Amino acid sequence: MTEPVSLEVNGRRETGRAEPRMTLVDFLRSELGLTGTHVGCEQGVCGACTVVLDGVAVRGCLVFAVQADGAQVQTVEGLGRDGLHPLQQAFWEAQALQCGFCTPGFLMTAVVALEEEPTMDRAQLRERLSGNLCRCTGYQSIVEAVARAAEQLQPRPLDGPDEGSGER
Amino acid sequence: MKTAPFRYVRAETVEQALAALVSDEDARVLAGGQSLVPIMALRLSTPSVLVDITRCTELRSHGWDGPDLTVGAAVTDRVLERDPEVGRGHPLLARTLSLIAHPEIRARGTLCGSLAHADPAAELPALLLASDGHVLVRGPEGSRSIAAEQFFTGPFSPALQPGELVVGARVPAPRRTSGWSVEELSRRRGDFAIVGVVCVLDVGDDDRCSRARLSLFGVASTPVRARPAEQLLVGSDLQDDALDAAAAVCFDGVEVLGDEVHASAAYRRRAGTALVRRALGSAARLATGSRHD
Amino acid sequence: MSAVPYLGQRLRKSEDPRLLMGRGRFVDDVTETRLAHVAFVRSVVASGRILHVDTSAAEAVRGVFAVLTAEDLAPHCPGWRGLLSWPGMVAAEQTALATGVVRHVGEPVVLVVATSRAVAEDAAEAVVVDYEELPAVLDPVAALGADSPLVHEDLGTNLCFGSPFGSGDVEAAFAAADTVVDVQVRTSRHTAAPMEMRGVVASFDRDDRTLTVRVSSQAPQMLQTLYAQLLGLPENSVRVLTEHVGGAFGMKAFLYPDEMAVVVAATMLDRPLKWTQDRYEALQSDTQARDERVTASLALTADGRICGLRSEVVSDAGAWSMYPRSCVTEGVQVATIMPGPYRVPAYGSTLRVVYTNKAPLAVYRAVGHPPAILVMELLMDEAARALGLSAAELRRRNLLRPEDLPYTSTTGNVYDSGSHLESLERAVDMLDEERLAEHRREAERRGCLLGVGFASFIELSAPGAMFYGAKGAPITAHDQVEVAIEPDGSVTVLLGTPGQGQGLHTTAAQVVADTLGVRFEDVRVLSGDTRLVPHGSGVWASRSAVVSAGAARSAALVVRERLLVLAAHLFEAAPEDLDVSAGTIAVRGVPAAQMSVREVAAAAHWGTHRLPPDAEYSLDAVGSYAGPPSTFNNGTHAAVVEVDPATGLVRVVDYAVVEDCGVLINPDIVDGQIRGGVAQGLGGALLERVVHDPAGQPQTSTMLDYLLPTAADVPDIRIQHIETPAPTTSLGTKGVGEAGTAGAPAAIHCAVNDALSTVGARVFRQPVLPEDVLDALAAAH
Repeated sequence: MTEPVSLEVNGRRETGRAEPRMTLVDFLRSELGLTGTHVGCEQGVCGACTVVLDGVAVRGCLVFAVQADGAQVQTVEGLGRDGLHPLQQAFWEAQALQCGFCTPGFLMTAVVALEEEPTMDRAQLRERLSGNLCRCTGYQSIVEAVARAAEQLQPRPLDGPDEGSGER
Repeated sequence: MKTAPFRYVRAETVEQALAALVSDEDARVLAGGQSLVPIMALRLSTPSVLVDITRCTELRSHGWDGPDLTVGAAVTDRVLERDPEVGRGHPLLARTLSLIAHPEIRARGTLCGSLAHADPAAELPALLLASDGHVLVRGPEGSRSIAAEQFFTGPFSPALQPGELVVGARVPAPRRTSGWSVEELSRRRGDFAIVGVVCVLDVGDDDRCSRARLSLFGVASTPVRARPAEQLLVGSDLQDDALDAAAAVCFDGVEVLGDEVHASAAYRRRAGTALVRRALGSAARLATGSRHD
Repeated sequence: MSAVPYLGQRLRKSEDPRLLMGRGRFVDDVTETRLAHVAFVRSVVASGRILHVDTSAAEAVRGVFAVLTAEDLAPHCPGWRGLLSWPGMVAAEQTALATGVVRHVGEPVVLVVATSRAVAEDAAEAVVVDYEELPAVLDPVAALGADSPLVHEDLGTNLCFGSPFGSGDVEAAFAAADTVVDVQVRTSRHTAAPMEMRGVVASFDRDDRTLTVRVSSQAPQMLQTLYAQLLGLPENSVRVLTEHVGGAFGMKAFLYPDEMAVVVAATMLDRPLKWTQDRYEALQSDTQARDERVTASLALTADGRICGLRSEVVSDAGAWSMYPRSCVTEGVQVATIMPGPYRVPAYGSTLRVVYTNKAPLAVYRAVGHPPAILVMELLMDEAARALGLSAAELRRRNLLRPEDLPYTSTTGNVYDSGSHLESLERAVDMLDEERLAEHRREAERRGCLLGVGFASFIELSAPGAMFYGAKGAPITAHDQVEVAIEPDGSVTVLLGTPGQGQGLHTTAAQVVADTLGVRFEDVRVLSGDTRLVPHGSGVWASRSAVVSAGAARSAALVVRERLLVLAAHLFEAAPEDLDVSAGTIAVRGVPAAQMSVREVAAAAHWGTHRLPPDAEYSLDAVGSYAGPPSTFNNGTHAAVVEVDPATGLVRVVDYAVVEDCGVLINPDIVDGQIRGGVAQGLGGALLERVVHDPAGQPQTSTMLDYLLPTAADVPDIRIQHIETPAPTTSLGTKGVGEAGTAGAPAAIHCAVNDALSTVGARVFRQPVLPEDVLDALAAAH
């Protein structure tokens, strides 16, 4: 009933087994022990499960692990390499997290959003982040953090051993 | 919830997909999964087999056939959104796509998947209807092309025979001289529409409306054309009085459905009429503007 | 004290880095050896008798370990009653799994244990439950009728609790008044919907007879007590772990039957069991809040001074009075908070808390304050319009002034400090004319109506033992913290009460560092394991800035005193002549005489030959702090909204908060609490409601139906603080965690009515639905 799933997660080759019905987020959490990505609704609405799949931010609860066989996945655990990623650092400075449950989803959404549109103003950022729910912060500090990180970040790929080119 | 168990088939070709669909009457197609997986996760849908078509090469392309954009069944909303040719050649589609949910959903969701899912509150079926588009289908009996008018037969009820697969869609673009708009009303950005409208207005050499398509979504059991309104618009000068008159009758003959949670039928009519008026205004300005360029 | 006090500094939270790296340990993140997974079969009817349960097909599913019903659990765990000593209150006995009768959709009936959650759900689908469906009681007013079916037959009534509140001659006040305004307000049922849903991992060691429960809760010691009591274990055999909790907001402060069922099952089976809720379950079975119907009147003189206030409050309690805080607290707060920060000489209120066949109503951030403040502020605005005064002016004439304090309200609340009037003036200033003019232009451009609303309020924080303990509930009001200086001078702090994102570690470290005289970086804070930490109060009623910080200070003071006694001996000086700052102890006035805390700590551990034999060597102490019986923060919120008359949609375009919660330990943390609170209040005002169909079926069981505010819905929120130190708390702090939520529904609703009143319309129901706005506009024409 289970099938082999082999994919690259945060730059490392990982393999596991999954029933077809196991979602990518459940696979990451239970098969690979990467519990940083969280499950909040299993409907694709809250955004807590957002991961990067082949360079694109997606809902981990709406992809089956078997669909991700052979893909490249980035999770929050792969965000900072030597210390905190500028986004993580900005979240920390701006107190853009309280309970921290929605945070990995926001980080992965934001890192891709800033790659795709590096120069959003605050209103655009609010809209861009409106697909991720937070119940603690009221969002202002999150928008502030992403805006500050955007200023610091040149368009750059996600940290990972394969992406040495640095140029987009 | 976790979904009920199913077998997973990854099709490399359309033939393989069709064979898998035919093999089990409870088989369903998996493309983006952004509509299907949430209902499976509530165990409201329990297919026995999911046929993943996202790797079928022949379904992954989109392109132009004259004024029509053809979109393969595995093409995601995101790919279309990010294609500058689509932005230039079919700005109505580009704008409609931007209203759908959020980027993370559009990253996986497919245009054809939305059509096949046939949610009466979805934007793309209404767009297809307003564009006089077609759904391209292949099945055990061969290929066929189904007009949008015939495709949406009821809520979540596309006119597909058992074993048939949507392989693509033909979405005609508005003419350069036409006006268009798409508007929707929802409680929050990205939610399903409480009421929405896709509007395409063609203008003739006499500066009068030669053809009108007004497709409402979120209000009935399928996307529905506001024909009485369309009829008033055709031949009109598309000025305020004409638009007012059309908006006033846009729900005539439409069986508007409401619900307890989001909005009553009465609200959808009332707010929808204002929404339609706004949409007509935008489309008319675009049409007359381009006439005088 | 340290050179620059940590108190008042906007320090980053020490809790954050691991959460940012994705290394949190929420309940579902943790696995154990031989772990099995639980899923529930829940009631699909709102009211019914369980005729028969057939578990045979479920038991036969491969991978299933057990399928348990109420009968299976009964020998291992008795029922409990959510009863507090409110006179005349009645509550029925609740069991972990429904016994014989189901009383709301979503109530747990059968527990399935299997190798995975997915398999457990497959088996749960195979359980067959036959119900005799009974008519559901859904309207709390109708529920009081003689012919109404009963939610609990054995209670003989649907009235849980009824009581008058208030004092003063209300009749005379209304008779003498020049103007009387009335409102009928309805606030809709809400649910906390934290991002992390409830969950529990429970394991029972049969050899030790010890129970370990990891649970997403804000009240671990309370649960420790309750698990012990119900299972017949000594409390010293029960360990509760709450490492990371993803939001609680009052909802996670109860003994939930489904969680208890898992705990009981763990004692019966030879495996650790994990259950984490899914969102569908959460939206159906979490405790709910804010479901009130209020009729109220305000009596005033011709020059706008309040003579009297009346209210009738009906609170829809749902099917159960949840244990141990009960379903009554919310209604009581609605009734008793209503007079607010105003001089109200006479007030009479009648409260009725009524059972219905819905998920239980309990406590949720700002408990009762939002409806109370909403009603009062709506009344004030109606009165202002009737008297031709501005909203601000009417408030100005009635708000408490410093010379009025201490002021005892007609409901016995004592306001001893605060800046009630000043907070209004500052809020008015924050909406300056230029800003408002810009908003007006924007609104006009969009064809929208513009409205401005104010909400002035007081908020109860850190109530003491009178609130629950004195009423018979095993809920602690004081907090305890342990502070220890390690042999190398580093400091360990053990918090009795763990947090759910409020930065309790950070604020405790700030307080301890200041009090002890060490560096913030040298303080490590631990929490979340009842085996390691002292007994805490748990988080509730915005108490942590008072009792948790107070307890940290108490413990640090004890340790500091001992430290200085030992240091004094080593210096051959008197303890009173010593100062400690940034980890260095010095003799005042003798710059050369310095010694590190580390050196003294080493002596206290290994070098006791240098110290008097009868000295207290331990640099480890537990401090506790209860604080005053209660303390009230105050504030004024100002909201600016656009109302689209074509669609009825409301947008909040500007929001300002003036908040006085006394001394601020960490202003950034306070600001975060306020903004998060305002967002939840906005949700209540405009978006959130639990909807049932006429048969009692919940219609809002996904996050596309129960609408939480998103980043696009909440504007930037500007905050100004007034710091009037609380005279009765050890640090001068007051609680503030709920204040944002308390004031926002009123401020926003008043703004909506301000916009609508320009065309003679109003709405009196929350959330303010676009439909209601259009109906109001149509009615006004």
